[in-house]
Amino acid sequence: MKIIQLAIREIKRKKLFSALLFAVCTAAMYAVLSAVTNGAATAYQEKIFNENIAADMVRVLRLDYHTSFETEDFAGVIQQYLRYIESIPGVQSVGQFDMTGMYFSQLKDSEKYMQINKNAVKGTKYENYPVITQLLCADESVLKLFKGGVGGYEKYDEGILPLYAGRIFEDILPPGTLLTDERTGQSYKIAGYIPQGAVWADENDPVRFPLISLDGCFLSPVSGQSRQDIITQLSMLHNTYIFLEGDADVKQVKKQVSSWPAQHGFSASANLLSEECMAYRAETEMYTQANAFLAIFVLIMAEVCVVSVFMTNILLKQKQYGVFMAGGFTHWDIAAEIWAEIMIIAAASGVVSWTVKLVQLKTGDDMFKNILLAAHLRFALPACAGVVLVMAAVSAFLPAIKILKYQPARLTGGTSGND
Amino acid sequence: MIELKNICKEYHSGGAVKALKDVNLKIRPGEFVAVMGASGSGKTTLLNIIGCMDRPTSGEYFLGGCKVDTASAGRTARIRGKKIAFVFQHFALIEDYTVLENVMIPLLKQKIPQKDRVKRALKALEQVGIADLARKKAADISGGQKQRAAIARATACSAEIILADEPTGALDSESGRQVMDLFCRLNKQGKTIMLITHDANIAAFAHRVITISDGRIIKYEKN
Ligand SMILES: Nc1ncnc2c1ncn2[C@@H]1O[C@H](COP(=O)(O)OP(=O)(O)OP(=O)(O)O)[C@@H](O)[C@H]1O
Ligand SMILES: [Mg+2]
Repeated sequence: MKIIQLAIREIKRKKLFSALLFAVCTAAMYAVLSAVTNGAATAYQEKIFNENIAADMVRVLRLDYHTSFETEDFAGVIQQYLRYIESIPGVQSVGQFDMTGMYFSQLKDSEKYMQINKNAVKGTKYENYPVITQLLCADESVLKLFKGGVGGYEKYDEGILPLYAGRIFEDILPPGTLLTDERTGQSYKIAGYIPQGAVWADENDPVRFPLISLDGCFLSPVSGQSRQDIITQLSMLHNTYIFLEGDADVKQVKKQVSSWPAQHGFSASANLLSEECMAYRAETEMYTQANAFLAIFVLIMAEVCVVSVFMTNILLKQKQYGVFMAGGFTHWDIAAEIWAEIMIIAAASGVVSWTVKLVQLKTGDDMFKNILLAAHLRFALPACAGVVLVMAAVSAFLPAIKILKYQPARLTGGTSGND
Repeated sequence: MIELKNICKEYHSGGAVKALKDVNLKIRPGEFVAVMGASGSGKTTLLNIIGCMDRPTSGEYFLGGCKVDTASAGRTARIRGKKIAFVFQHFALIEDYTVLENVMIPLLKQKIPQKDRVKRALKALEQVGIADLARKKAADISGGQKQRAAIARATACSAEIILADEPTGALDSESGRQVMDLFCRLNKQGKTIMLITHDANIAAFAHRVITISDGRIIKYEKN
C-alpha cells in the first residue's frame, strides 16, 4: 500500500511527464484495442458463417450481377437467364431470395402484433415502424443454404402462398390464419413457424455482413407477381444461388453463367461460396495484419518512451532511492515502486482507452456493432489487462535492474560501490 | 556492539582503489566516536560499511553480535531501517519534497500510523529549531537549515546508532555547537554515535577520536 502511495506521489510530482506517458500509452492501448476488436470481430463473423452454413460451399455458386441494364422487359430477360442457368449441365437447381418490409392488411391495426413486432424490428432499418413486417421471400431450393430453418414448403398453389412466421408470433397467428399483402393483394396462409434461432444471409453479402436472425421474420415462397416486378427481380439477382451436382465441372458452369449475359447485353458472373469466403478472409487478414502491425509499432514506440523516461528518472532520482534505502527500503521496494508507477499510468490509459472505445462502439452505427461490442467485452478487456501487465513489466525491468545492481551507498551520492 | 575485523574495501572503477585496508574497530553501545582524517582517506567508506549501505570486499562485520557483512540485501535493509540513522555528507535531502516529508522518510517503513509519523518528524524538527520550515520545499531553505533538516531526519526515527558524515560542515561555529549539544543529548539518552568531522573542536565532544589515513586507522585517542 505504501508503495502505491509513493508511486502516486511520484506520478503527481512529474505531472508533465506523467501526462505525456499517459497520452502515449493511451494511444498505444487504443491501437491495440482496435486491432483486437476488429480482428476478433472478423474472426467471429467467419466462425458464425461457417457454423450456420448448411450447403457445401464448393458446390454453391453465388451470382454476381455487374451492370444495370434496363430494357422494358428486363424482368423477362432475367427469367430467361435463370431458366438457362438451370439447363447448364451440372446445375442441380437455382434459387433466389428477397428480404422486404411490407404490411399485412390484417395486422396493420393490431396492437398485439405491433407490441411483439416492436422487438423484432429493433436494431433494423424498420426500428421506428413496428407495423412493418419483415418478409423473406425465398425459393424452396435456397432454404437449404443455412442450418436450422424451415426445410421446405408444404404444397401450395400461387393463389394462397404458405407463410411461416417467427415463433414469437405463434400466439397471435395460429396455423391457417389468412393474411393479405396490403400493397399487392397477395394472399398468405400461416402454414407453420420458423424454428427459433434460424438465421439468414444479409441481402448485401452473405459472408461479409453479419447473418440476420429470422426470429422476428416471416418466410414465404416468391410470389408470381414478384417474378414480374423489375425492382424485385434486380434485387433478387444479387441473391441468386446456383446449386451444383457433385460431379459438376465448376469452371465450365461459371463460364456459361457469364457468357449468356454477354450475348444479351449485360454482365454477370458467379463465384463459389468458398471462393467468396477466401476472398473475404484475404481482405480481413490484410486489414487485421495492418492493424496488428500498427498496434505493435505504436506499442513499441510507447514502450521506448516509457523506458527512456524512467531510465532518465532513475538517474535523477538515484539520491532519493539511496535515502529511501537508508531508511530501510529494500532494492525490491524501490523496483516495486517503479513498477507500480508505470503500472498505474498504463492501467489508467488502459481503462480510458477501453472506455473510449466502448462509448465509440455503442454510439456508432457500424453494421458489426453487436459483434464488435461482444468482441470488445470478451477479448479487448483481457487483452488490455495483458498489455498493461506486460508493458509495466517490460518498462520496469531495465530501471529495476539498474537499481538492483547498486549498493545503496552508490545511490546516495556519498561514497559509492557496486559489486 | 559494532565490531569490524580486518575490513578491506576496494573500488574498481578505472583502477582499483583500496579505500579501507585491514580496519579493526570495536564500538560499544552508547559510545560517541568521532572520525577524523584527510579528504579521501576513507571516512565515508567506513561509515557506509558500518551503516550497511555498502559491503566490505573482505573482512567481517558484526553488529549486535550478528554477522552482517554477508547478510542478505533484505536483512541489511531491515537493519538500516530499525537500528541505524544517517546524516549524509551533503545532506541528501530530496529537493522537491517538503522538509517534513524528507524527515519522514525513515519512518515510512515503520509500522506506525501516519499521524504519529508526522508528530515525530515535527518533534525532531523542533529539536533542531526549524519546525517553522516543515512545510517548505527542501530546495528553498539555506545550507545551514538543510543541515539541520538532515539531522532531524536522523533523530526522528528511534535508531540506536546515528552515523553522521560531517553534520556541522555547513554550519557556523555557534550553530555547530548547538548541533553538537543535540548529539551529546542524544548520546546521553543512550544512542551510539559515530561522527565524521574535520574540525578538532567538534571531535572534542566525542568520547573517542579515530584518525584514518589512507584507508588505515592510525590513531585511537580517548578524550
Ligand atoms: N565509487 C568509487 N569508485 C572508486 N573510488 C572511490 C569510490 N568511492 C570512493 N572512492 C575512493 O575511495 C577513497 C575513499 O573515499 P571516501 O569517500 O571514503 O573518503 P572520505 O574520507 O570520506 O573523503 P572526504 O573527506 O572528502 O569526504 C578515495 O580515494 C575515493 O576516491
Ligand atoms: Mg566523505
